Amino acid sequence: MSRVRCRTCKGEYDTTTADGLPYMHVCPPVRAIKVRHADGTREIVAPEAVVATDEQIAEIYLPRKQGRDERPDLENRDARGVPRIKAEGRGVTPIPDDVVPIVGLPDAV
Amino acid sequence: MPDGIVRPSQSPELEVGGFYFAGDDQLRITSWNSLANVRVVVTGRFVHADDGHIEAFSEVHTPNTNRTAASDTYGRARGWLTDLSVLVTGATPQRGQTFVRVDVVRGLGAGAIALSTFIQGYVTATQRLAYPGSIVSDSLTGPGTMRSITGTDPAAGSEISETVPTGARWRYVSLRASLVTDATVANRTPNIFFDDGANVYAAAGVNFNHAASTTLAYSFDAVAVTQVQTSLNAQVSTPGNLVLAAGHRFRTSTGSLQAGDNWGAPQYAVEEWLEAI
Repeated sequence: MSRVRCRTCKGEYDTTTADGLPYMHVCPPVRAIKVRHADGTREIVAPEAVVATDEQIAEIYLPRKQGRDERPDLENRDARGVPRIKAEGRGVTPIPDDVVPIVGLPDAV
Repeated sequence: MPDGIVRPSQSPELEVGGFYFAGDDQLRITSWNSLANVRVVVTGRFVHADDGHIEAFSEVHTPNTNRTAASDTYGRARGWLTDLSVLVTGATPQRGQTFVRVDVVRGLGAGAIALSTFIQGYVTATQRLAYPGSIVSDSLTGPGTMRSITGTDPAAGSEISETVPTGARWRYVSLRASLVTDATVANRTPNIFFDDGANVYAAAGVNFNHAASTTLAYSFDAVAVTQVQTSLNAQVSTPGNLVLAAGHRFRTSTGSLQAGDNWGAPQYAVEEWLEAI
């Protein structure tokens, strides 16, 4: 098991789950708000860009640019016939496990 | 056979019970698997037509570990397959993690024609499939494997989003995750959405507000009553018995989520089957 950080969405995860199966990370979508501005024009904007005079029409989720998708692509296989992942995105960075020392608990392991 | 009667001594094909292989027929093993180190072992007995000797054979097949199909083909001489069985070595998969089909095929590669199926079903290290005897079953029938999975810990300001892997089918049971809010004054309202990869088909949310600078651990499950249980825990009632196909997602959607708010890694329970595709 190894822990990595996705360079696209900055999410962190173990590449193998506790039951021994591979974990397949997919970047979450990007949250956005569809608004009607005071002048009547409509836009899709970031949530923090919504201003008090905007009318919020809908909350929408957009695919993430250069999103990583580790699920196997059945239409794209290597020389041995094993499917590659659907999208590399910006790749991953290995990160050390977050091991917190146990102090003053002699009966704990 | 001038009298039209087939006598056993004249027709050895009728003297041995089993499935007749004409010489250009082969055994093909196809597997779908999600666990590392699994080896599928097919053992059986084969009566050779040329000299009548009984061969005890064993073939070892290595499945993929990403739920995609892997197959191997093994040549057989002219004769009769009397029996075979399948089990797993090298790992201890639960029911729902290793699915095997054994066919007899004629021809090679993609052009091979499947003539018959001997065995099809889930197999473990202790529960075999056997021919004759086992029924041919599909991968979505019966109980799956119960899994507890730690998902991706999203970056601050991002939502939790978990996707059903290719080749899997999940029945959603529950999800627990903590939301730490920053000091920005706003009422956060967490929801959980279930979608097909784009379109939401089920959703559930809170009937209370999550204020600034507080931490609550949310449990999203079908038997919960939506409420803040204690100062640390909250429950959200979700639609029951949700079965999600490959590519479907469940994800949080938090009203007024701030850039400094931080969902922790979700821990969720699902029942999983293999979609043998």
